[in-house]
Amino acid sequence: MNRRQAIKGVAALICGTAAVSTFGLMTQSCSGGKGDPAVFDDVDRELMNAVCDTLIPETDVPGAKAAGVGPFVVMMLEDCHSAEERAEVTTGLSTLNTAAEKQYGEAFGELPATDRQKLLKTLEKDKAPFLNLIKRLANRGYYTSEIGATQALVLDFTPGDYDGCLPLQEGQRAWAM
Amino acid sequence: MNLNITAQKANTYDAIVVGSGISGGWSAKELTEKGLKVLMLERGRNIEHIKDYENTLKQPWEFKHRGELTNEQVRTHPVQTRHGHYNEYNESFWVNDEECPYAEVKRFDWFRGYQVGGRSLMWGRGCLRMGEVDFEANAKEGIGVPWPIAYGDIAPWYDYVERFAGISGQAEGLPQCPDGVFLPPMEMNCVEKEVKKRIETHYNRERVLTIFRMANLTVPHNGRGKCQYRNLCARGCPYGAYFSTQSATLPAAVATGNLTLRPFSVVSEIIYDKETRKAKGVRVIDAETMETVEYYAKIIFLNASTLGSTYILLNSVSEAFPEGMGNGSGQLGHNLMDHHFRVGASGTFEGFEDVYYSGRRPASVYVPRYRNLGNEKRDYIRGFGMSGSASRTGWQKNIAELSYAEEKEERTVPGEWRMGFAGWGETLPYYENRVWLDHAKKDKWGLPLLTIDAEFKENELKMRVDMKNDAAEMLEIAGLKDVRSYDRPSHPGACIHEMGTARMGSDPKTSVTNKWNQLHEVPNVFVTDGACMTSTGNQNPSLTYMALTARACDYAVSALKKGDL
Repeated sequence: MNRRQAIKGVAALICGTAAVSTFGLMTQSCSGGKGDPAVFDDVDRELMNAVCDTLIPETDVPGAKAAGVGPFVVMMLEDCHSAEERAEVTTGLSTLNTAAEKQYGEAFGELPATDRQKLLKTLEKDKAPFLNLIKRLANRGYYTSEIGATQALVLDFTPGDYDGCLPLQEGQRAWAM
Repeated sequence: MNLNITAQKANTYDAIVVGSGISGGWSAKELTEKGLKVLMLERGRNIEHIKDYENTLKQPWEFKHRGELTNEQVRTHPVQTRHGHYNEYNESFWVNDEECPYAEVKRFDWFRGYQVGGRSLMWGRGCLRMGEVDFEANAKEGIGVPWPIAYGDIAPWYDYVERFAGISGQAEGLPQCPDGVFLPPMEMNCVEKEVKKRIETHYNRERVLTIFRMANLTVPHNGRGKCQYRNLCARGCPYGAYFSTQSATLPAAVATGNLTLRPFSVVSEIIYDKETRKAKGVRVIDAETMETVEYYAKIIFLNASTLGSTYILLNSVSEAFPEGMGNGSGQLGHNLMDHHFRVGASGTFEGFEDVYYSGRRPASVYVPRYRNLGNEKRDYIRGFGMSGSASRTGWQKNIAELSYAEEKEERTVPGEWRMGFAGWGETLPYYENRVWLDHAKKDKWGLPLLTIDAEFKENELKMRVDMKNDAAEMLEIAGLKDVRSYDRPSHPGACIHEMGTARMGSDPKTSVTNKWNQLHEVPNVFVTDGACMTSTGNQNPSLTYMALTARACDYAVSALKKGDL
């Protein structure tokens, strides 16, 4: 049983009784607060940041962290996706954390980058839908961010002309748009 | 002093133009330039050129959702969000479906832009002439009714509107897709040029690949700036580099001093005068105050969009016209058409790894119709054109096993070349594809709801087989690898080329408008938008609406001067 299921389980027990009010955390669960898997709590947000920073690391160009990709992905899930998809993502993140603790004895966010990468690569190989979704949104968030578009890629907002056959220059980056 | 007469005088013009999109803008320009005092009515808000293109200079990261749809947008715009036309970059140009509902018997994606400029702000800008074969087809095949005009009747008017609008393109000498008055063509990229060579060689130029003919300026034209190759047209162009009401026809009409533009004016009906047997004006509901106002004029041009214009006619009932104005034929609302599309193929091009391109060209490449010409007879009639483009993949490419740092690096370099073709096919006029008014249901202005019942049929479905296979075949002949074809669901309306429902014809018993776009039964009412189309051809239709509008305006003003109207 992961953290969420545990919280939900306890919340269900308590909510079923009249003696709710003494447990602040648990009362929130009853009204769809902390325990609602479709809602991102602080733990989820931290995990999302760690996942995005792993997917798009800092290299010679700043990565997901500098570009604010983790918060972007959460915002996109909140604004553009369904409660089911959000629940799938938070549940997936919890599973990831559980796996990290099981394999390495530490939370996902505490692991060195190589171990985080290993865990995510295994999930990618299994085509975990929650990770596919995060990755798609993270890439969109990063490569359309100011850092991604102007440092990782090259942005020419007003080209002025069109040249259909341009010799590829040494070190030429792909167009941002 | 009789106040009513004064008020009536104040609300009287020489001409009323209903709608301010592509054809309405042309009506306003032509009629004002010929000296008429014109009132142009637009149901939506005003959009000022450049100033109101609020997103046109925004960088990608300035859009909160980077162009993706939100749950809230899908809720308030259930129809407009069915395809990618509506998005975060130009959402304010699309109608709020909740506020402006309609009913679908079968799925019909009705995309609307209720504002000054209408859909001329977000249109695809493809400008192709219909050819002789298109104007002759109905008569030859006994489909629908014959067109009352031939290519020769409209050709000079194509010249006329192209000269003003500014159409870039390449002359190819194909009668089925006639050449026009072109500004310099946009350039193809290396792969497109190579594909062109291979296709034209293989098919012995029976299939031609040309750059799409676009209402985008490749050189400065009539005081408007040239295209800056941003490919952000649908946000509104701050250079006025594509044709829209705001960039082209409206300034010309305003310059005459003869135009009055009234936004927020929902035209509910045309008022019929049974004494004169003509229309005497229109009834308008102010969209903001809900007040009803009447305006009067000698001639009325209906340019409210295909279904908008037909709606107004259907709602204009009188003793003389219990089934809608000018509907003696019983054809008003019938023969609704749209092009069918979303079928084609794509593949990967090997080679040209050492070349790239700069600038974002707002035009695809195009293979004009080649099917069912001359002696060829497929198992369907009419034909289709193919558009496509080649480009190198960017950050969205698929990436095999790499470390995340390597993947990040890989996403930032130009990827493989890919190219696709997609078909755009003619749809036949079917009497049973139709619209009508449901008086049991009303919108917020108390007006009955339009109900739409249309579908593609056997001829279109058979054509799609060729569209899909031909796209793949041409790509393979051009040397592309891993070619995959597709045939995705295509519902009427989605192409935003809706046409028909007030068709032109010589016989008042079988058509709604005559060869001058006049209602057979009410000669001072002209319908010159897509509603008048007798068949669709396979070409993007807006250029034809422009030409028909300019032609009808010329006729209307000379008839008016002769005292015939």
